[in-house]
Amino acid sequence: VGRLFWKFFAFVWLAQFGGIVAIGSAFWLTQRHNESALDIESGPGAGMRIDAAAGILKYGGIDAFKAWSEHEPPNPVFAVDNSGIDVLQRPVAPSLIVHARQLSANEPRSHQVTEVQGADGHRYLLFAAAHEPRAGDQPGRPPLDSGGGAPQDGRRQGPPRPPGPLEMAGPPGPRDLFGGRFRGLPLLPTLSTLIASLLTAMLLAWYVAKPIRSLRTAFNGVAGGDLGLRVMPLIGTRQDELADLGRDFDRMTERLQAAMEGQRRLLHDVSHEVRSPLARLQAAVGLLRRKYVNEEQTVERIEEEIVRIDRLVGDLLKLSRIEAGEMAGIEEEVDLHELVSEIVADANFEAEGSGRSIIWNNGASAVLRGRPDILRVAVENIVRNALKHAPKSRDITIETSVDSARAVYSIQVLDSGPGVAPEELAKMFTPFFRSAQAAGTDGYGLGLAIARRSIEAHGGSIAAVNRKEGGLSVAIELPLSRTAASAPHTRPSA
Amino acid sequence: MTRILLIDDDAKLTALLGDYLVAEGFAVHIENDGPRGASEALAGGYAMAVLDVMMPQLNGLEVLRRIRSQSTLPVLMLTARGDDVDRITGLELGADDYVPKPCTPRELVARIRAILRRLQPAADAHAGEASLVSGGLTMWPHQRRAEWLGEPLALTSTEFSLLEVLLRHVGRPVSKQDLSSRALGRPHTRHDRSIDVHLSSIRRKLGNLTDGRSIIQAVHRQGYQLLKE
Repeated sequence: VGRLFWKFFAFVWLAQFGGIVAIGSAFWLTQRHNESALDIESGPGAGMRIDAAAGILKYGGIDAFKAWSEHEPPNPVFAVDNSGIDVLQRPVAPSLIVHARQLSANEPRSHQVTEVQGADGHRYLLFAAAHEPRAGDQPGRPPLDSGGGAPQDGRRQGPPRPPGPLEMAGPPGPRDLFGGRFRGLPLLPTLSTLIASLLTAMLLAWYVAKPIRSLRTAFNGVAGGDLGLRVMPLIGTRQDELADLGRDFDRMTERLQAAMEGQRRLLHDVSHEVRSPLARLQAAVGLLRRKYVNEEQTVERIEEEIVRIDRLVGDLLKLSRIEAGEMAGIEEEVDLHELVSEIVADANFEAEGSGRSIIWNNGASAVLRGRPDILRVAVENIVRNALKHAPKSRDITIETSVDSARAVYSIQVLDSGPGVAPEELAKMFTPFFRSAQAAGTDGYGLGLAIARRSIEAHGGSIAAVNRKEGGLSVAIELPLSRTAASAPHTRPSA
Repeated sequence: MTRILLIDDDAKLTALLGDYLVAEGFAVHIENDGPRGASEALAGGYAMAVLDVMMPQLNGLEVLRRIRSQSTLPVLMLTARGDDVDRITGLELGADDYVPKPCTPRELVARIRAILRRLQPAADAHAGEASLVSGGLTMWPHQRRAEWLGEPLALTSTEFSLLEVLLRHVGRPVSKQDLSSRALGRPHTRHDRSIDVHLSSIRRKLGNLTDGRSIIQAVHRQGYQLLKE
């Protein structure tokens, strides 16, 4: 259990405690008010006063009743008609009226409530509200409160106060809200609420703190180099922001792991690729040492291998530069038509040696901002790949077109070679991939990887499919206007 | 003339090594892919095979497994330098020795010679003896044949040589240095786990004694010992 848990727990519990105190006291105050408002005066004096009031109302009318009422003590006799309105328009608590009606219905002969027909012909319900100040504050009058228990006595002892803000529609009169003991404050419910609030605060704090602790463990694990760590099994099946954070974390580590694995594999492949020419160099040197062979020929072989290692290192650097995104700042307007036509001319020159040619079905021209050298390498590598794998005496077709609706320039390189096994189509753009058919050919499988990285660095895409009529089709799509989001090395737009 | 089978996907390298081996007086046959190499090895007639572990299509280890399933032809592996997993897996699969690649052709020839030497009938000093016996283990070095509890033992040539050295010193520990120079034909180097791997393979083939121990025991800091019964 960490510090966060305790902080959370303390805040939540304090908030809950405060809430409980506020709600509890409000409830308590209202209850006290209602209790007092519900009281109907039941003493013998009340009966006399009600009888007198009934007589006055019946024979003297409302005006007489009003005049009589003005001399009444602070707990007046109300006369309420059927619609619950006092004949003198004084405010009466509705609960009091309900109580009075019940009394009148249950005990018709009660002296606390009387029903009378007024001079104006309406029927009125008469009763006296037993409001404080009680008799104790009014010398000369006997206590009217017959059922007065200890709590009411306690109320009586307090000094009079002006009405508080919590007072509802009750008859006016000084009130004593706080002077007495906390009458009716329930101890057991208070305690149980307190414990419940403690428990819920604890639960809530734990609920928030636990996934954070899990995340922390995972972060520490990853910092310690264990990229296989996943946090979701620890967090479980939550559905909230913390769970989302956990999922994001897992996705991040997954991608990191994949990237690290890719790097590791690349390093492994590179070491293998460097070692192959080194092994040949050593064999050749061994032969030279023993003077077993034609020296001239062996030295040529050695030179070949050195050139090969040099090329490999150069290509690796190219690949890593493109990957690192060394693109910004040196972009310029590239005329794609011109770029392709140069490549076609070069490739044609090469292909003539084997009696082949490049056919270019030129669709349209387009200009985009980018790195001409990198784009050239990409397209060139694909054309070279086609030349290498297509059988002799077959032609290579290049088709270029502009899709103005999508603002995309596409280049298709089609050959009539043996194609690529379907399961290898996706892999053929990864570094050092060599198809099973091409096992004997020269090269180390970096050309297409470089091509893909170059195209992707320009926000484009590259894909290969086997043609129905035989051979391979490699399609490049380059967006003519690049948005920040499509460039792989810029920050994703929010 | 000693016939050697060279299995490696790198055609240029095999051509160079082939030239070198021919010049050293071997007859060389070259195969540049795994499946053909395996079937050629099983076709017989070779004194030994040199096998590259890093091959596309059929991995060198898989080729070795195929060869070992039917033959005890001595096999020298070419492994990538620093790739311990391949090396140990290869030795466990029954390769007789390994050479890290890239290596000098001289080193390769030395290893080939060391393995071939073991295959020669034992030195004349032991010419008279017909068999070596200890407990349930019987070995006929001249015939390169061994039996354990009356059952024939299928050992690779390296395993046979190691067991023979241990049997000649039965009841006494033999240091790894001695085992390496006598059985592998090369000095023992630190961190070289070849002997341990070969011995654990022999232990597997021999099974355990009635008390559950292996007949070959590692003796701390002294090497290995064949228990005397």
